[in-house]
Amino acid sequence: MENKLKRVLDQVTAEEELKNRTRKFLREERNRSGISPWRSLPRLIPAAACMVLLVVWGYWLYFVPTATISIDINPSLELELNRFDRVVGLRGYGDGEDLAQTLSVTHLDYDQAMEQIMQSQPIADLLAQDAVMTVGVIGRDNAQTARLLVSVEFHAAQQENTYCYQAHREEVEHAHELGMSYGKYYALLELETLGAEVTAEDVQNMTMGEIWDMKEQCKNHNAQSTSQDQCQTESEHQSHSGHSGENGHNGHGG
Amino acid sequence: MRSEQEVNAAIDRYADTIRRVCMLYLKNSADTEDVFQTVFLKYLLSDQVFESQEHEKAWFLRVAVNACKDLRKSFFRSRTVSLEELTDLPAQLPEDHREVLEAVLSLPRKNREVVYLHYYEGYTAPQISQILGKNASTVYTLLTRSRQMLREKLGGDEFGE
Repeated sequence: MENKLKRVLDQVTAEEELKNRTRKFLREERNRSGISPWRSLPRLIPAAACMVLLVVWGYWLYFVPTATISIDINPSLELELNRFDRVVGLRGYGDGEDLAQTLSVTHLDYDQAMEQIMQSQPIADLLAQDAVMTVGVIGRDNAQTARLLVSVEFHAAQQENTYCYQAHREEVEHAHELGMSYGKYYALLELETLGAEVTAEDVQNMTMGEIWDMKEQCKNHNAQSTSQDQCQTESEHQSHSGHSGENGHNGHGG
Repeated sequence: MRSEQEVNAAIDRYADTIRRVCMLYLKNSADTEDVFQTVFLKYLLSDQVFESQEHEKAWFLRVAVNACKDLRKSFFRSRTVSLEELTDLPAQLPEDHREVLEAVLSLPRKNREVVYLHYYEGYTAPQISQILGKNASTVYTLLTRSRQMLREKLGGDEFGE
């Protein structure tokens, strides 16, 4: 029976026509593509697309900032952090622009970056003179900003006259359009809320100590006065009275 | 990429073998031609170096079996093979020969392929297991079961161990 099977199958052969058509097909394939690297291109497209997506996704994941730490003392600096709390950008405002050029904090963990900033000459000198510094954590992800704020507050506790706050990005979104750091803009909003008659330009040129004094003046003024008078900027105020704040800056009030 | 001469020589050497494999799985000449093109195109593009003629033949068998299976999985292909529909079978088969072929082709596909590889191509169960990507023990079981089924169909004990 096995022999019968062998004999039967021996008679099953490929027709010459089938072989010739196969040869012709292979010849055409060879000529069509030169069977060049392009032949495998269609198969590579999905892999390449996945690769591109992966790179874009990785880039987005790492390089898109999700939180900002605004350090304001005058100069002002902003650390842009990704979702892993790593520094992906540093921006300076006012005198901070020059300072930002001298710092190398990209890809550092935010607390290492902050330490480097605090130890930089201009900031260290100002802190030694008890200058007021504000450190704000600004972002859209409340969980991340809250986490960062806890850590920032811990560091700030070691410095005199350092104040921390947390803000949502939308609250301060116009800051950069006005050429201000988030911290300065946040202070401007606070002053406006307190009824201070102050412009963005005024705040840009003030140190945080001056702003802080002005806030205190406004608070005191609001507590004592029922009139609609507003707090005034330094230039307007100097003609009325002088006041020395906790760090020796001129205060503001109306 | 292999030379035209090399490919033509392979067609001469293995076309009949692949034709028989196609007969086990496929029911029409268009599908057979598809499998021929797939198998020899793979050979043309393959950089595989073969240690021996046997190694090369086993490669062709494996690629052909897989190409047939892939074709059968395709949505538009029929999944059954009946002897009546088989084309290009040897025309003038003696009745008893035809009976044997019918019995083999009426086996389930997984039995049919091991019977062909064992009784016609002369491969052992471990060799078949490598070609088909199955366990050797599965191949032994399939061979034993196939022998039983063929004995039931044909009577006698012509299909030995």
